[in-house]
Amino acid sequence: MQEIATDTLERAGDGDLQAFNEIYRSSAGFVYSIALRMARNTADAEEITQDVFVKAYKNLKAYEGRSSFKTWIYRIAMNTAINFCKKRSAEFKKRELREREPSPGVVSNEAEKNLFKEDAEKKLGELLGCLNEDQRACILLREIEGLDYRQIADVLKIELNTVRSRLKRAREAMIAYARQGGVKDEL
Amino acid sequence: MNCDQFKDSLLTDYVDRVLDPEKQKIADAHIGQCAECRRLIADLRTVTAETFGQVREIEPPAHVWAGIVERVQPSPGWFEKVCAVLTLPRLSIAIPVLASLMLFTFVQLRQPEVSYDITRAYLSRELGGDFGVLSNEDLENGSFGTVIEDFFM
Repeated sequence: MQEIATDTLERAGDGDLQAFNEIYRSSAGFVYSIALRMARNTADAEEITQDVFVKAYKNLKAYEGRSSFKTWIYRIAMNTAINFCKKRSAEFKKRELREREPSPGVVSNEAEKNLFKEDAEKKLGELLGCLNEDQRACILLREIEGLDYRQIADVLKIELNTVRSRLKRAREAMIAYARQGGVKDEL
Repeated sequence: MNCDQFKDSLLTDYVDRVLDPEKQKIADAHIGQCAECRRLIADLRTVTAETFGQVREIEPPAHVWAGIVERVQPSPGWFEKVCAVLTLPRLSIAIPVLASLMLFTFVQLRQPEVSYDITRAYLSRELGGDFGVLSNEDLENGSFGTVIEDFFM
């Protein structure tokens, strides 16, 4: 994600859509990638991305620059994605109980299968599928975005030790999954 | 140091290399001797490299921005809404057609009736004879003055 000029942020905060488009272009890839890996299907990822930028647009005036813009947008993206996925997950469980559908498993439907056609994305999708939303958020910020523990704690507004415990559990789950042969030819 | 002593930091601080140098040295020494911990670390590094090392950033499709713009732009007032409805392709054709029909019907209804005198003069000229001149006698007899009128009325 590129740095965004203060002037651009101010203009966007005043409702200048062209300035907001500059912000969008510099951060849409990151936000969409996070959304895609959290939600694991394109339709939900698009909805999350839209929600993130609508929230950002409406709250830009309130952004005071206490944290970097990158951390601010990371926070909106992650919280939106986590809440969206938890809500979806709860809806799915409710429906599953009602209809006695089989469990979604790691790769639950055709849309997800299409998304993870590429080998690297497929492996990533399978591994992320064995984590809960909170663990997934921590591992994505650490492994893909390269944030340190303090930055992850800031983005997710959680304690440093919570970051550690979520990362540990996520990594244990990933190793267990890979050892069971969940990710082909991996170990 | 045994596995239990640093099992909590093995999959976090140790692999992320955030242990202080002293603890890092101790952990390295343990891993050199412990096959189980060595395997755990090796497996984690393989999984991490295989899965996270090759992923790339993905740009959203163009319609995502269009959806954002639609949601952040202020909603139009009643005047804009009416204008928008009137400029819809189907309505822009239907409204003039409907107006023309109404105008045509109105004009038709307002056509003056051909007066009786003009009709009578026309028939007299074309056919000859007297068409409908009411005489006092006709009025007294309740007649309408012509055979045709008497027949129909």
